[in-house]
Amino acid sequence: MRYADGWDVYAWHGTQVPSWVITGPDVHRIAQEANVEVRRCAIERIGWASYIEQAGLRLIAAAPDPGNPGSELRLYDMRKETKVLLAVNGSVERDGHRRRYGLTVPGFLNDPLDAAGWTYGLSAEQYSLLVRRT
Amino acid sequence: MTVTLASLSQRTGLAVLDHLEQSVSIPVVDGLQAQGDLIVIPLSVVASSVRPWIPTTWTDVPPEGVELLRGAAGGNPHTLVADPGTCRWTVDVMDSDRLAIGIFETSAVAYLLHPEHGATGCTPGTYVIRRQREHEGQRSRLVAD
Repeated sequence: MRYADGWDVYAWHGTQVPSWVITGPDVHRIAQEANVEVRRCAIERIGWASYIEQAGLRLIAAAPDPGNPGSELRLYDMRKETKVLLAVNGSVERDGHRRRYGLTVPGFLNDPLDAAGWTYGLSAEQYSLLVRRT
Repeated sequence: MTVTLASLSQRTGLAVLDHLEQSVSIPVVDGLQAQGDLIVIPLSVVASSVRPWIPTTWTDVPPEGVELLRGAAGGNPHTLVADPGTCRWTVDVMDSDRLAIGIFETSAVAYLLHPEHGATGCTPGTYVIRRQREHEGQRSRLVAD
Protein backbone atom coordinates (compact mmCIF):
# COMPACT_ATOMS: atom_id res chain seq x y z
CA MET A 1 0.00 0.00 0.00
CA ARG A 2 1.45 3.39 -1.01
CA TYR A 3 0.17 6.84 -0.14
CA ALA A 4 0.42 9.89 -2.42
CA ASP A 5 3.23 11.38 -0.31
CA GLY A 6 5.40 8.31 -0.98
CA TRP A 7 4.93 6.68 2.43
CA ASP A 8 4.31 2.97 1.97
CA VAL A 9 3.81 -0.19 3.95
CA TYR A 10 4.05 -3.84 2.94
CA ALA A 11 2.18 -6.73 4.54
CA TRP A 12 1.75 -10.45 3.93
CA HIS A 13 -1.51 -11.93 5.28
CA GLY A 14 -1.70 -9.28 7.97
CA THR A 15 1.99 -9.36 8.96
CA GLN A 16 3.98 -6.20 8.25
CA VAL A 17 7.12 -7.10 6.29
CA PRO A 18 10.06 -5.35 4.59
CA SER A 19 9.35 -4.37 0.98
CA TRP A 20 11.66 -7.04 -0.52
CA VAL A 21 9.37 -9.78 0.81
CA ILE A 22 6.64 -8.55 -1.54
CA THR A 23 8.60 -7.04 -4.41
CA GLY A 24 11.55 -9.41 -4.77
CA PRO A 25 11.74 -12.40 -2.43
CA ASP A 26 14.62 -14.77 -3.19
CA VAL A 27 16.43 -17.61 -1.44
CA HIS A 28 19.60 -15.58 -0.73
CA ARG A 29 17.76 -12.79 1.06
CA ILE A 30 15.74 -15.37 2.96
CA ALA A 31 18.95 -17.12 4.08
CA GLN A 32 20.33 -13.80 5.36
CA GLU A 33 17.15 -12.70 7.13
CA ALA A 34 17.42 -13.02 10.92
CA ASN A 35 13.69 -12.64 11.69
CA VAL A 36 11.99 -16.03 11.42
CA GLU A 37 8.57 -14.53 10.80
CA VAL A 38 9.86 -12.42 7.92
CA ARG A 39 11.57 -15.51 6.49
CA ARG A 40 8.32 -17.46 6.64
CA CYS A 41 6.37 -14.68 4.89
CA ALA A 42 9.01 -14.45 2.12
CA ILE A 43 8.93 -18.23 1.60
CA GLU A 44 5.12 -18.22 1.45
CA ARG A 45 5.33 -15.39 -1.09
CA ILE A 46 7.58 -17.57 -3.31
CA GLY A 47 5.54 -20.69 -2.53
CA TRP A 48 6.89 -23.54 -0.42
CA ALA A 49 7.38 -26.00 -3.27
CA SER A 50 9.27 -23.44 -5.40
CA TYR A 51 11.34 -22.32 -2.42
CA ILE A 52 12.39 -25.91 -1.61
CA GLU A 53 13.44 -26.40 -5.22
CA GLN A 54 15.27 -23.06 -5.56
CA ALA A 55 17.04 -23.45 -2.21
CA GLY A 56 18.02 -27.04 -3.07
CA LEU A 57 16.79 -28.44 0.24
CA ARG A 58 17.69 -32.09 0.82
CA LEU A 59 14.83 -34.60 0.90
CA ILE A 60 15.09 -36.80 3.98
CA ALA A 61 12.07 -39.04 3.49
CA ALA A 62 8.64 -39.20 1.88
CA ALA A 63 5.51 -41.17 2.81
CA PRO A 64 1.88 -41.41 1.66
CA ASP A 65 -0.35 -38.96 3.56
CA PRO A 66 -3.02 -40.94 5.48
CA GLY A 67 -6.50 -39.63 4.73
CA ASN A 68 -5.27 -37.77 1.64
CA PRO A 69 -5.18 -40.42 -1.12
CA GLY A 70 -2.51 -39.98 -3.79
CA SER A 71 -0.70 -37.27 -1.82
CA GLU A 72 2.72 -37.49 -0.22
CA LEU A 73 4.25 -35.98 2.88
CA ARG A 74 7.83 -34.94 2.07
CA LEU A 75 10.31 -34.01 4.81
CA TYR A 76 13.29 -31.76 3.96
CA ASP A 77 16.31 -30.51 5.85
CA MET A 78 15.96 -26.76 6.14
CA ARG A 79 18.31 -25.10 8.57
CA LYS A 80 19.87 -25.85 11.92
CA GLU A 81 17.32 -27.48 14.22
CA THR A 82 14.51 -27.06 11.69
CA LYS A 83 13.06 -29.28 9.02
CA VAL A 84 10.15 -28.58 6.71
CA LEU A 85 7.28 -30.89 5.89
CA LEU A 86 5.82 -30.32 2.43
CA ALA A 87 2.18 -31.43 2.38
CA VAL A 88 -0.67 -31.30 -0.11
CA ASN A 89 -3.93 -29.53 0.64
CA GLY A 90 -6.94 -31.84 1.06
CA SER A 91 -9.21 -29.49 -0.90
CA VAL A 92 -8.91 -28.34 -4.51
CA GLU A 93 -8.39 -24.73 -5.49
CA ARG A 94 -10.74 -22.97 -7.90
CA ASP A 95 -8.54 -24.00 -10.87
CA GLY A 96 -8.71 -27.67 -9.84
CA HIS A 97 -5.16 -28.06 -8.52
CA ARG A 98 -4.21 -28.87 -4.94
CA ARG A 99 -2.01 -26.35 -3.21
CA ARG A 100 1.21 -27.59 -1.61
CA TYR A 101 2.27 -25.97 1.66
CA GLY A 102 5.20 -26.24 4.03
CA LEU A 103 5.14 -26.67 7.79
CA THR A 104 8.31 -26.13 9.78
CA VAL A 105 8.98 -28.81 12.39
CA PRO A 106 11.72 -29.47 14.98
CA GLY A 107 14.98 -30.78 13.56
CA PHE A 108 14.97 -33.97 15.65
CA LEU A 109 12.12 -35.39 13.55
CA ASN A 110 13.29 -37.68 10.74
CA ASP A 111 10.06 -39.38 9.69
CA PRO A 112 7.33 -37.59 7.67
CA LEU A 113 4.54 -39.21 9.71
CA ASP A 114 6.22 -38.26 13.00
CA ALA A 115 6.52 -34.73 11.64
CA ALA A 116 2.89 -34.52 10.48
CA GLY A 117 1.74 -35.96 13.81
CA TRP A 118 3.88 -33.46 15.76
CA THR A 119 2.06 -30.52 14.12
CA TYR A 120 -1.16 -31.74 15.82
CA GLY A 121 0.46 -33.01 19.03
CA LEU A 122 0.10 -36.63 17.89
CA SER A 123 2.47 -39.57 17.46
CA ALA A 124 3.05 -41.10 14.00
CA GLU A 125 0.84 -44.02 15.05
CA GLN A 126 -2.00 -41.69 16.05
CA TYR A 127 -1.63 -39.57 12.90
CA SER A 128 -1.73 -42.76 10.79
CA LEU A 129 -5.33 -43.20 11.97
CA LEU A 130 -6.35 -40.15 9.91
CA VAL A 131 -9.32 -41.21 7.79
CA ARG A 132 -9.99 -38.07 5.80
CA ARG A 133 -8.38 -34.71 5.07
CA THR A 134 -10.19 -31.82 3.41
CA MET B 1 -32.57 -36.39 4.69
CA THR B 2 -29.32 -36.25 2.77
CA VAL B 3 -27.05 -33.50 4.01
CA THR B 4 -25.11 -31.72 1.27
CA LEU B 5 -22.81 -28.73 1.24
CA ALA B 6 -25.67 -26.71 -0.25
CA SER B 7 -28.17 -27.73 2.47
CA LEU B 8 -25.67 -27.14 5.26
CA SER B 9 -24.74 -23.76 3.83
CA GLN B 10 -28.41 -22.81 3.59
CA ARG B 11 -29.17 -24.01 7.13
CA THR B 12 -26.36 -22.00 8.71
CA GLY B 13 -26.26 -19.00 6.39
CA LEU B 14 -22.53 -19.64 5.91
CA ALA B 15 -21.30 -19.26 2.36
CA VAL B 16 -18.87 -21.71 0.76
CA LEU B 17 -16.80 -21.19 -2.39
CA ASP B 18 -18.78 -22.00 -5.51
CA HIS B 19 -16.16 -24.31 -7.07
CA LEU B 20 -16.73 -26.90 -4.32
CA GLU B 21 -19.15 -29.72 -5.11
CA GLN B 22 -22.43 -28.55 -3.57
CA SER B 23 -24.87 -31.37 -4.21
CA VAL B 24 -23.16 -34.60 -3.15
CA SER B 25 -23.79 -36.11 0.24
CA ILE B 26 -21.17 -35.03 2.80
CA PRO B 27 -18.98 -37.97 3.88
CA VAL B 28 -19.45 -38.97 7.51
CA VAL B 29 -16.32 -40.27 9.20
CA ASP B 30 -15.81 -42.36 12.29
CA GLY B 31 -12.30 -41.48 13.43
CA LEU B 32 -9.62 -38.84 12.98
CA GLN B 33 -10.11 -36.27 10.30
CA ALA B 34 -8.42 -33.00 9.39
CA GLN B 35 -9.91 -29.88 7.88
CA GLY B 36 -6.98 -27.70 6.90
CA ASP B 37 -5.26 -26.53 10.07
CA LEU B 38 -7.82 -28.16 12.41
CA ILE B 39 -7.98 -31.81 13.36
CA VAL B 40 -10.88 -33.73 14.92
CA ILE B 41 -9.71 -36.54 17.19
CA PRO B 42 -11.90 -39.04 19.06
CA LEU B 43 -11.29 -38.24 22.73
CA SER B 44 -10.34 -41.87 23.42
CA VAL B 45 -7.29 -41.53 21.12
CA VAL B 46 -5.79 -38.68 23.16
CA ALA B 47 -7.38 -39.37 26.56
CA SER B 48 -3.94 -39.56 28.18
CA SER B 49 -3.15 -35.92 27.30
CA VAL B 50 -6.53 -34.19 26.89
CA ARG B 51 -9.48 -34.01 29.28
CA PRO B 52 -12.27 -31.60 30.21
CA TRP B 53 -11.91 -29.43 33.27
CA ILE B 54 -14.12 -30.47 36.17
CA PRO B 55 -16.65 -28.93 36.47
CA THR B 56 -17.18 -28.43 32.76
CA THR B 57 -19.37 -25.71 31.28
CA TRP B 58 -21.10 -27.15 28.22
CA THR B 59 -22.90 -25.08 25.60
CA ASP B 60 -25.50 -26.51 23.21
CA VAL B 61 -24.45 -26.03 19.61
CA PRO B 62 -27.04 -23.59 18.16
CA PRO B 63 -28.66 -24.08 14.72
CA GLU B 64 -26.32 -21.54 13.11
CA GLY B 65 -23.30 -23.40 14.50
CA VAL B 66 -20.31 -22.51 16.65
CA GLU B 67 -17.35 -20.72 15.15
CA LEU B 68 -14.29 -22.72 16.23
CA LEU B 69 -11.48 -20.81 14.60
CA ARG B 70 -11.01 -18.04 12.09
CA GLY B 71 -8.16 -17.84 9.58
CA ALA B 72 -5.36 -15.26 9.51
CA ALA B 73 -6.40 -11.59 9.22
CA GLY B 74 -10.01 -12.43 10.10
CA GLY B 75 -10.34 -14.90 7.22
CA ASN B 76 -12.39 -18.03 6.75
CA PRO B 77 -13.96 -19.65 9.84
CA HIS B 78 -14.23 -23.33 10.73
CA THR B 79 -17.76 -23.86 12.10
CA LEU B 80 -19.26 -26.78 14.04
CA VAL B 81 -22.86 -27.47 12.98
CA ALA B 82 -25.39 -29.93 14.38
CA ASP B 83 -29.13 -30.45 14.69
CA PRO B 84 -30.54 -28.61 17.73
CA GLY B 85 -30.38 -30.63 20.94
CA THR B 86 -27.91 -33.20 19.62
CA CYS B 87 -24.50 -31.67 20.25
CA ARG B 88 -22.80 -29.79 23.07
CA TRP B 89 -19.45 -28.06 23.16
CA THR B 90 -16.95 -26.87 25.76
CA VAL B 91 -13.75 -24.88 25.78
CA ASP B 92 -12.99 -26.04 29.34
CA VAL B 93 -10.26 -28.36 28.19
CA MET B 94 -6.87 -29.30 29.52
CA ASP B 95 -4.30 -30.35 26.92
CA SER B 96 -0.67 -31.13 27.77
CA ASP B 97 0.25 -30.00 24.22
CA ARG B 98 -1.89 -26.84 24.51
CA LEU B 99 -3.37 -27.35 21.06
CA ALA B 100 -6.96 -28.24 21.95
CA ILE B 101 -9.54 -25.52 21.45
CA GLY B 102 -12.46 -27.56 22.71
CA ILE B 103 -14.34 -30.83 23.05
CA PHE B 104 -17.73 -31.69 21.57
CA GLU B 105 -20.14 -34.49 22.40
CA THR B 106 -22.67 -35.39 19.78
CA SER B 107 -25.52 -37.90 19.74
CA ALA B 108 -26.19 -37.39 16.00
CA VAL B 109 -23.91 -36.62 13.06
CA ALA B 110 -22.18 -33.24 13.55
CA TYR B 111 -20.51 -31.31 10.74
CA LEU B 112 -17.49 -29.10 10.34
CA LEU B 113 -17.99 -26.44 7.69
CA HIS B 114 -15.39 -24.20 6.06
CA PRO B 115 -15.70 -21.93 3.00
CA GLU B 116 -12.61 -23.39 1.25
CA HIS B 117 -12.47 -26.91 2.64
CA GLY B 118 -16.19 -27.69 2.37
CA ALA B 119 -17.81 -29.93 4.98
CA THR B 120 -17.15 -33.18 6.73
CA GLY B 121 -19.33 -35.22 9.10
CA CYS B 122 -18.49 -36.84 12.44
CA THR B 123 -20.38 -39.90 13.70
CA PRO B 124 -21.92 -39.67 17.20
CA GLY B 125 -19.21 -39.59 19.86
CA THR B 126 -16.90 -37.32 21.84
CA TYR B 127 -14.17 -35.48 19.99
CA VAL B 128 -11.30 -33.11 20.67
CA ILE B 129 -10.58 -30.33 18.23
CA ARG B 130 -6.97 -29.33 18.03
CA ARG B 131 -5.12 -26.62 16.12
CA GLN B 132 -1.97 -27.20 14.12
CA ARG B 133 1.42 -25.85 15.12
CA GLU B 134 4.74 -25.11 13.43
CA HIS B 135 8.25 -24.91 14.80
CA GLU B 136 9.56 -21.35 14.61
CA GLY B 137 12.94 -20.50 16.08
CA GLN B 138 12.99 -21.96 19.58
CA ARG B 139 9.22 -22.04 19.95
CA SER B 140 6.00 -23.11 18.29
CA ARG B 141 3.51 -20.95 16.46
CA LEU B 142 -0.09 -21.86 15.74
CA VAL B 143 -0.97 -22.23 12.07
CA ALA B 144 -3.76 -19.95 10.76
CA ASP B 145 -4.45 -20.64 7.11
